[in-house]
Amino acid sequence: MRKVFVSLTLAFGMFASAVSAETIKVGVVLPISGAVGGFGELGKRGIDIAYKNQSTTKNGDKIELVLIDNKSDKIESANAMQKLVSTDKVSVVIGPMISTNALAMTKIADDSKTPLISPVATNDRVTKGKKFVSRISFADSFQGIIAANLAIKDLGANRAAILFDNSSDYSIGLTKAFRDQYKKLGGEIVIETNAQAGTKDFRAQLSSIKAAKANMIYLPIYYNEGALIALQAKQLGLNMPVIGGDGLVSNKIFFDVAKDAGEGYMVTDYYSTSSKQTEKGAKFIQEYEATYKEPVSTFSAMLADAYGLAISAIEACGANDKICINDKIRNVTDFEGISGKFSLQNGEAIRSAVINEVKNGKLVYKTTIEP
Amino acid sequence: MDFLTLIQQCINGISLGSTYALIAIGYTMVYGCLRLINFAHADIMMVGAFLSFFAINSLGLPFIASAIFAILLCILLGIIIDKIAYLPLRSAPRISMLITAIGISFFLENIFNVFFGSTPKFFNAPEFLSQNINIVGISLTHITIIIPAVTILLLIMLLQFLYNTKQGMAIRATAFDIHTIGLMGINVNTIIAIVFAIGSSLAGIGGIFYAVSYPTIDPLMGVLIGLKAFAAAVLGGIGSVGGAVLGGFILGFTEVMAVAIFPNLGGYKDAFAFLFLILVLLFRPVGIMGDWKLEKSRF
Repeated sequence: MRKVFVSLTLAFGMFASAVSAETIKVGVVLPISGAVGGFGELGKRGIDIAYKNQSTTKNGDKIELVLIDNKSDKIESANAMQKLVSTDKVSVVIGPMISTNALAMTKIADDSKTPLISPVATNDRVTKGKKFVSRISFADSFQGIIAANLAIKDLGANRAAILFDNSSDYSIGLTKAFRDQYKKLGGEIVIETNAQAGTKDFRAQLSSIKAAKANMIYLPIYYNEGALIALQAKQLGLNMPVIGGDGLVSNKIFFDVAKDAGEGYMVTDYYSTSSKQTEKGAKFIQEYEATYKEPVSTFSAMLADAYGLAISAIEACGANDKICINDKIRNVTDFEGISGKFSLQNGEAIRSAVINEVKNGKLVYKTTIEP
Repeated sequence: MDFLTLIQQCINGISLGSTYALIAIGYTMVYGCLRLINFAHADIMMVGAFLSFFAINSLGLPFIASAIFAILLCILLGIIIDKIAYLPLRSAPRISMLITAIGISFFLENIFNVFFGSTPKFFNAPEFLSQNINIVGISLTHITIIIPAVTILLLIMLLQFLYNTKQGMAIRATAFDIHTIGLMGINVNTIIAIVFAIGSSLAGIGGIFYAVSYPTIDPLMGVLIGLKAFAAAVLGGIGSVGGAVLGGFILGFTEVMAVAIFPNLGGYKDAFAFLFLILVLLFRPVGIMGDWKLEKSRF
């Protein structure tokens, strides 16, 4: 009889402890479909691996991911954020990927006092003046300056052509930063022309660039159009260095389509698999390559880091204190992530940048630039 | 702009315009017969590109065989769409058919989204087609020569068919008066099926060429080019086959020249194209080669 009693108490105790463990909801908004669906796919891989390794907090609370596809659309993004805040009551939201979509979500984050971690949206306005939005990537103003420095100081290319997308906040932001710094360093911008996302023929723009006798191209464009631009530039016989931002060669499709036309393209980025890794980073590369049989993309690493940062803030504050979670995220110091070590100051990341270069159809680490 | 750049831009215009032209013929044919703007047409173009992609990568067919495979299936698809979606509505108000066409268009886009995903796929055409030729500083690829040549060839073949065969005559008669022709002992539904078959095969060919020139394909690739090709058909005079081809070339040319002359406004090249369309229609509402006596002649 006593045995039964003891085992019953034990069973009940275990049951009770299982009940006391909460489920904490984390919202994830990614472009799984639509124009930048390729980003979303890579982002999801990062989140999936990170979640597999850390699906409970150290108090034993279970994390539940609420994933919403924003279809690469800003209105869908705003709706997703609204739903996560009011219906799902999440503790923190991670995402989305691109600046235009992120900008549609920031006001809801502030109004509802829900911390939003932007993994890779780089436009300056994403975090500017916001109390509940932080980002772990650097801003366009930083990225554009690095690109201009690289062009003038390292490549000695003083006649730049800029081919950007005037419908993308990311592209406009990078262009502005690059243009200012480039002129400050004594370079001349000989032609500025636009290429809108969704179009496929850029021969007219590229022919004009060729005629303008530029000696480099700055290309703050995403991978879809970027690959076609590379291909058509080569067909038109444009032979000059090309520098892009973090979105240019960020999907396998760029290498598939551009092939040797993309050779030598340089991009400013947060992360490289061939530079020095953190302990977490090395493990991530191993797991990622085993699962997906592809080199790790920057975007996968960044999404995994956004998740890691969110969990560490939840662990420090508990699930319901969104103000505390937000504060922990916005002012984290020396967070050791997969993409390297970084700190946040009032929601803005302070981290080093790397320059990657396309060599033999692969992205190869070139140098690191400290902030 | 120096002379060489000008020539280069002209070639760019022709290469862009010829793809529009090829798709525009299909719009014009169906409109001529049924007075229906077949919005699903551009999506058949997308289907053509995907089927060819599928045949190359999953069935391991060589490029030419994959193209034939894709075109045949496009023809079949065009006929099926007509039988399922448009035939039951033949005597319904014209607006019903238009709405059905939009429905078919969304259906095709979404079903391909489900099967192939929304991320663009790389269309691996033979290297030869995208190889470069360089003549005194002007570059063009093989495909930039092939597409306009094929477009013109197909146009000539189509006109021969329309004017020198029995079926061609029946098609023209259907376009002239669809109600009377049934009374003359001609099977209208067969004639319309032939029209859809021709239109869809042209869309399929257009899709494959488009995929060769711009080797990324996705389920929404037809949306923008469909709009452009439709505009080209209207510009040339909807209902006129020659007009559709002319309209396509003019539209491609306008776009390229807009970017060449105003590089800072390159992002608005579509706006330029449509502005030009509006201007033409203001002065010539029937389009460049359209007939003022609309009901009198066709094609």
